[in-house]
Amino acid sequence: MNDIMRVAVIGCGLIAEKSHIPAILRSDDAHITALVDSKRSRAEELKARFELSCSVHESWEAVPGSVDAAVVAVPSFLLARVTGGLLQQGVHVLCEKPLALSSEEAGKLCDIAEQTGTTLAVGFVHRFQETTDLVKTVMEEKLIGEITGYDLEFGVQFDWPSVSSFYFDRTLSGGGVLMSEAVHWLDRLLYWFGDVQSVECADNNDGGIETEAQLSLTHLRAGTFLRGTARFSWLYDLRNSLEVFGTEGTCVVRKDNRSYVEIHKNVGGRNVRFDMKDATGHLRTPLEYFELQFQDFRDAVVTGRKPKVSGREGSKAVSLVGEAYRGAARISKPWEGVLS
Amino acid sequence: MIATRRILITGATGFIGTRVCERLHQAGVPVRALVHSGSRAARIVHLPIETVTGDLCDKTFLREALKECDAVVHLAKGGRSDIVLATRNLVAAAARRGVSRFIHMSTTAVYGLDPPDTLQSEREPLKKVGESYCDWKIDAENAVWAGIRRGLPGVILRPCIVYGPHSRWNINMVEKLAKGDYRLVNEGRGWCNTVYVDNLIDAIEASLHRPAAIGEAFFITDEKPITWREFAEAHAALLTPSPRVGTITREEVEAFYRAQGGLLRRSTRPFLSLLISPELRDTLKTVPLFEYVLKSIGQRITPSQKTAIKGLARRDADVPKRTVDVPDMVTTMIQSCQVRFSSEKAGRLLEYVPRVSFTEGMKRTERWLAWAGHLRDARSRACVGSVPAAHQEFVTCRAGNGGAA
Repeated sequence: MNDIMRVAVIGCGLIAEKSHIPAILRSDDAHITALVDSKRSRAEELKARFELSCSVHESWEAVPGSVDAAVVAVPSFLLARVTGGLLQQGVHVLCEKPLALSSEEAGKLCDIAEQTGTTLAVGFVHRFQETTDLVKTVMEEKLIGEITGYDLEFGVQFDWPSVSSFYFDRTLSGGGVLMSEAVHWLDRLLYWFGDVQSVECADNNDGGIETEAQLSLTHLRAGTFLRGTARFSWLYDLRNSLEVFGTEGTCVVRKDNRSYVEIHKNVGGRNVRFDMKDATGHLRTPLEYFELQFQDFRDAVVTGRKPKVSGREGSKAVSLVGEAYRGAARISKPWEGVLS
Repeated sequence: MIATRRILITGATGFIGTRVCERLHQAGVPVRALVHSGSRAARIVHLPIETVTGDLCDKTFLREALKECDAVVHLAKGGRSDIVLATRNLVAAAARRGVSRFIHMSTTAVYGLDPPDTLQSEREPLKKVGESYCDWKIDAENAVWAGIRRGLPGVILRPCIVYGPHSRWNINMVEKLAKGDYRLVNEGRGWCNTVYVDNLIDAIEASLHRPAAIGEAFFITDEKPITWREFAEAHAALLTPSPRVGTITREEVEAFYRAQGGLLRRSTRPFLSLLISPELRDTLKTVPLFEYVLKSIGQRITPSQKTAIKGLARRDADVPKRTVDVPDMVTTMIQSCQVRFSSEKAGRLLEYVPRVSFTEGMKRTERWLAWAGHLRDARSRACVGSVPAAHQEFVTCRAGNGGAA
């Protein structure tokens, strides 16, 4: 590979337009040499908008040989197929979450990457938020004492634009709120609290896709079982925070605060709150996290080290979602009453 | 049992529409949900039902949407173009399609927000009262009546206060009460004319298959009428601590808005206040063009003119302050209702029997309000029966020492 990494962007949906392409363009060490979308006109549109001098293709199969790496941002059901094909031909891949729709598929991708010596990174971009490492520090430094559990509530009324309507089509997205949205949080829960020993799930899926889900998770953390609960919703505006409970206080991560965490504890008989953040950091924009993610991927390719979220690590969240779906009960709706 | 091939539901992602989709799906009836925007479809995608996205004002789209449909439940609402034009288009398309039933969701507001207490039955003629919403709903209903006269098997349902899970009536009442200083009009003596959403859907289902429904309009209500005070107090009881429910007379509300003056007058002072606020000026100055304009104005304006503008912006002697939550005029009229609408006709022709009492309806609504995060207190959290038992507590224990559960 030359000093300048030649990158293909596979899939030209909103996430590519708003995040991946601008993030790559901010890198001095990478150059977009190909855009791929099944709708050629869409790829041409982005090529013109970003004033790129790159080739445009309708299929990913046209790019190996002319690129070093690819950012794969196709609908979820295609991620594994496209990523697997690229890895097999020696192309390093930063694959959008969730990587695959099953742990088996994800495992195969990791195997291919290892066999071909290519880098496989997963686009769990929330990992690059400052709060991710801050929570880890809070726990490791015992700033709230011993961790006793957590409760996560994340819910916003769905109103997101999408170039395609894949969010609500299980065949395209692989699921609902769990697969498309919660998976970001699940990846971080696994990072913070360790592997999950068991998961109980209840969701509102009546034969379509789930727009609400509740999980009860048991992690194994340093020889100790740790229990946490999580609720995700596309229907309601929920509390939108993670509360990590400790023997000496609570650490709170709010959805809108990507750069700091709150520590609530009793000090000298008074309930006080500290905001903990990296003193040298500045308030990053959402795009800057994609920039960090891409730089991490590029550095991993260049140095041969593992990316921040490797294929193996990223596939844990996919497995967890699969496990949750397998045993999912239906959320009871006591407000519906009994219909005769 | 509803014997039909496929039902087109307009307004399928709304409060009533979502529940109609759920109920018809549970009854095994094929449903095609028409949604205006794909992103709103989140409310119904948990159901394995067909959804089509488009505009009711698009006649070609409507023709396609009605293919293979045997009945229509028209619940869509919106601005005038949605309500009236969409209804006209839909009536025409449904008539061409030859549907076996066209259910139109109208409202008691076709008799005004505060209808005359002489109102006896559904047969009273509709008369515009100058309230936009009421008049638009009359135009929409008239479009259906015109279709009925040309042979459309139409049915018109006129509920009043439809409440239940997802209803803005409930959410708004809880939110206003929680803020404190909520005031009922005329001590809340007006009739609230509630209908629980599942009761209304019973009426829709009956209208879909009862031949006697065709060409008729029906008031749809709960069994027992309640007052606005009862409605408000039922919500106040859900909050801890229970908020005080005050009152205000209709005359006081009217006097308040008379003193406030017209829209222009009411807007002048806050607009000027905003204009001279340092925060806005600082923000505007970040845009070079605005900075230039502000500087130019500052140079041209005399000190006495500056003082005059500031004085005008701050003058409040002749405008009453809104020191309490004064209901708006629409709410005031609705809460002044002296009519107890009767669903006697629906009982007779549709065999409509409201199955859910107000007490039961509020119990269900409370559970939903808690679930949806509208009641954020210990009491409401405790009533969420759907949380798996394992979610209720956090446990840590040593691995191999009895397990986590």
